[in-house]
Amino acid sequence: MNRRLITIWGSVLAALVLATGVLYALHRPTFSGTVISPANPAPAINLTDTNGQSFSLGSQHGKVVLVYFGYTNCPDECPTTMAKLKLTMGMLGNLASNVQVVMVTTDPVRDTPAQMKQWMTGFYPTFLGLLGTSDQLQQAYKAYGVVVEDGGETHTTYLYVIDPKGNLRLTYNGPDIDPQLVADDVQNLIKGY
Amino acid sequence: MEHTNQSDILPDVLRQGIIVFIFLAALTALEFFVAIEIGTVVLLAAIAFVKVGLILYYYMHIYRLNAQDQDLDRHTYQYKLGTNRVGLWLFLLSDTFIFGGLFVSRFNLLGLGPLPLASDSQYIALTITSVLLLSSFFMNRAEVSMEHGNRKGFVFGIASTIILGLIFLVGVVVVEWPSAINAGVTPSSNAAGSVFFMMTGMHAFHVLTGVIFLAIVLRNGLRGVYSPERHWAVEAATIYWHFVDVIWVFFYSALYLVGKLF
Repeated sequence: MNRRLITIWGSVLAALVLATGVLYALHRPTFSGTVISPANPAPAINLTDTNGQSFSLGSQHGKVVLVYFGYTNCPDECPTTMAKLKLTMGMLGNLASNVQVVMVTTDPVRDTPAQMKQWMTGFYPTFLGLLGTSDQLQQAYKAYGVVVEDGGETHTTYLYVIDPKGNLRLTYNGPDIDPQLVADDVQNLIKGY
Repeated sequence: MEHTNQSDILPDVLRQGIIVFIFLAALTALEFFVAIEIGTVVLLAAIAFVKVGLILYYYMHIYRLNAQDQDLDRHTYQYKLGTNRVGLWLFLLSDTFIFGGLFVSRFNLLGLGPLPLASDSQYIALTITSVLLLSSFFMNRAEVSMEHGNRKGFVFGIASTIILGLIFLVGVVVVEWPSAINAGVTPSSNAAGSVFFMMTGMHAFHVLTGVIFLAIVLRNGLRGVYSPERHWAVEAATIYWHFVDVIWVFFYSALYLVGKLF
């Protein structure tokens, strides 16, 4: 009586375990951000960071880069986005060192390297501001489809996520992000999905 | 053929109860893994149905409904036992409608997404689910003991079931509900809140009535009212208790596993 019980239900259990194993091996996580598909190499960014070093997106391979466009005198959307990204970095724990957050200035007139550095690092020590000549910045805006008007005070607020291989993978609306969901997405990108 | 004693069959039946419980535990661990790491609803549903199948067949012995009774005199105990069984299962069927309605509402209102509970709830739920499954193990043990004249086994089994049932109630009302309210999920907050509290509340109420039923059966049992030949109240309480566990198998999956709580 018990042997039959074990054989029949044991086979059922084994089948379910097998199905679980197969599904686990095959499953791809879903992303909360807007997925860019197919993933293409992210447009180049060549600017100067707030430490005075030249910053090139191409040299960031191995890290997840979160690119935002804004300015330090921004009253709402930029600080909101940066504050939320600070929370995201906290949630990533040890993985935070694999993540680079940058903000390209939309207001090169008022944003000086020193001012940007103070503002960015005020949120998180590794956050970088990016500046450049008017031409360089225009190139970056154009490459990412960023609209900049009113001396930089009106700008599109997308957050662009580039994976460790340098591909543009996700976008979010910066101020609306859920820090935990961004952390989950970043974690999956770091894992190689 | 050699006459087999009741006591020869007993170890076999008891072992069966243990094996079924081990399967249930393994399936619960599997569905927890599936929920956290993969998330396919179809697989969660399949596991839930297998768990329910095990309980329905081995613990609730649903096949006894098929007992042959045409040759029986309608005035015998055996015949009345048969009709009592049918009556009980019809009652459980009717009770299924309210639980079924709530179950459907969860998906109608919230789709396949998670409830906005705190991540604590995931572990609280796993704990109380394990408690309830364990209580079904002891309930089965108590019934089997009664069927084979093992009075001590019967008393120990029922007492254990009652205690575990009470632990389940405390887990829901004192631990899980405050946690949910703390996370903003209240009976009047929104659709998610009303679904959560109605499902867990109606189920907990059935656990409570089950405990009361079992307490009465325990008291009667201690007075020697039941025998291996005549113990319908024990069987009825047993089937009712396992029914409440079956409902929870579906509710646990629907509330905590589908959509991945965290």
